[in-house]
Amino acid sequence: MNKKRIIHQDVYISVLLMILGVYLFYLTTKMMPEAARFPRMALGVFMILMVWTFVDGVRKSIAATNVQEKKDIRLLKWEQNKMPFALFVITVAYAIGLDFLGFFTATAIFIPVVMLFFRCRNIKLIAGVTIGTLLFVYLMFVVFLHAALP
Amino acid sequence: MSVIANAFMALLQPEVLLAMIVGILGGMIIGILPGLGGTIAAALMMPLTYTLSPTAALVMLTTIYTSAVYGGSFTAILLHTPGTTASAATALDGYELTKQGKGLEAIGIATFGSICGGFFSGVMLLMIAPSLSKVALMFSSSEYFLIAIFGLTIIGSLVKDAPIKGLASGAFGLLISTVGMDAMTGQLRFTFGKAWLHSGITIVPTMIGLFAISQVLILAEDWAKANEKMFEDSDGNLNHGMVESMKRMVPSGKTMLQLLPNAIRSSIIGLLIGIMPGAGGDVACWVAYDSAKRVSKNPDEFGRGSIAGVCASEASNNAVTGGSFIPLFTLGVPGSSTAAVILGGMMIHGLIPGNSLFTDQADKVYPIMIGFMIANILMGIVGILIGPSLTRLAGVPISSLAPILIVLCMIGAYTANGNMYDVYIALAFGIIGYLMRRTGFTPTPIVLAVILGGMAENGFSQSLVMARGDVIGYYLSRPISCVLLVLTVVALLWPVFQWAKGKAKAAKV
Repeated sequence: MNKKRIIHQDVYISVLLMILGVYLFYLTTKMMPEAARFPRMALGVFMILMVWTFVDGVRKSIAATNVQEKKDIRLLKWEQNKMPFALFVITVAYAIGLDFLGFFTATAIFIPVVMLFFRCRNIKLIAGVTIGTLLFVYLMFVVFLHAALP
Repeated sequence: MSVIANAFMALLQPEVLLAMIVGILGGMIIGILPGLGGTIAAALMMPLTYTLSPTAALVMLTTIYTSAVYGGSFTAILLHTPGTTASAATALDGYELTKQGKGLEAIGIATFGSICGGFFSGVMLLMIAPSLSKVALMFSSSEYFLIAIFGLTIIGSLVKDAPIKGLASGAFGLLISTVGMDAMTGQLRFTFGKAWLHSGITIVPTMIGLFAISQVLILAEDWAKANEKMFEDSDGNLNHGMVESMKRMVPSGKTMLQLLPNAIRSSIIGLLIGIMPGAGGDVACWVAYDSAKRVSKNPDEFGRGSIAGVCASEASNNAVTGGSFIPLFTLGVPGSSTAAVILGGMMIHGLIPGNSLFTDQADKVYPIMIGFMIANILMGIVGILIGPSLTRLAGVPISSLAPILIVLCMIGAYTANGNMYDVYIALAFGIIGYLMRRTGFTPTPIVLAVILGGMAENGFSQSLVMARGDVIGYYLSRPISCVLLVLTVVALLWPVFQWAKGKAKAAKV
């Protein structure tokens, strides 16, 4: 019987975080001993827990490989995550836009883009949500709370 | 007594009253929206509090918490979609009542239960917290270190299915709390040469990223499902005139009297569960529901449209809110993720948990506690007046909701300090929070660790100086430290024991 090897996501995550932990530990060697003490304590606990997660991930991988009927082992899948990642990229672009275009211009572009991204084709709704949000923010944060916006 | 009288006077300030109303409406609206709850409501509405006085700000934040829990009951009853996990048990009988054409009556019972639970927990908060805070007077720096570690341990270890990941999240949060200049030595830590990191990672953008932005990304993942028309199962029994609706929603005096023992019992359950860090409304509603079923003369009605079931669930989940403020105000240990966000709000407004909160800052904390009690009653009145209409918000499609939430997140992150770096920090934590939630980690211990990390490190450093080389001997020589150490060890070992027990059970099956 051909068994397809499955590596549980906990293995990848724990290895990546252990590498990060080692790098952060290296950074603490350049600090004064008193300043490095607490970060090292937290790192020590973190690394122990990551080793535990790694071992558990290996166990889960072996179990998943040995079971014919693959049950949910909580693997991150691109198909499942492409929408949130795409939305995240749009949001990062919006944040950069806030810096260069200012809040109201960037937001007036961002809201319709996101609504179209979610396949909303109702122009009246898009216009209503955009204008309504901008008006609410202006009245609440600029007029009422005197908050500075980007 | 004069403290209480002064507190009432402080509550009459227009700013405080307005904050309460905004908190009620904001909390209810966000609570009604499926997938969003009190934690996100408090994080998103935090920027509104920046320009307010500490009293008004905390009245708003505490009101948001209890109103969001109450708001969750509307969609649970009318649409079988709990707005928050704390209303899961409410959906069971509430929706059955809706199917029988008694949706408005069920909302009335939920309102009665929520008012009882919230008000009761507010009274208990007012009675217990000032006395309990005196315990904090016995604490020195070593105990503050252990309190922070205990809080983190218990919140982290109560993560269902993955206590190790919960604890790892807490340790990671402690690391984040060390970013910036060390208060004791002036050494820069993990700043990577960036000047904007010298003052550390700001808590508000961290919370907004981990809770709110990550939730929007999760909504995006589920958008096709979430975009379904949510009113299709509702029988439309909301289409009455306002007066007729109100008549149907307000329970009769006889019904309220009959339900009172149930409401009191469930409120006590909710209060006790709320005091325990980590356990929240989602646990309380089921425990109270089960308890009401066991003492009921008609247990068969439960699950088929029992008003006692709705009342028990709602009284308990609203009682959790006041319960979670007791360890928060007295020891700085939040009982839930929403309480952790509120702790962040307290820090921003200069309110430090502990005995001094009830002595030096009594003029602020008593109005907050009494305001919380009043807010629970006002919340019920607002709920009866406009609640069913607000329920239609649950039908807002993700395509409209997501951009609005992101815009509010960006404003919240920016207005924390008025710089764009905080916006990027919120974004970074947004994607970290999303990945964490999708891989079995949880963001709450990180937020708690970022808030408590400074206190933990200062306490530890000072106790090292006082220990003069014998750290273990020093800690063991202090009775309160010993108790806290034992509690921390138990909190650490309990989930491991439960986890191992569960695995052994699964292996047998």
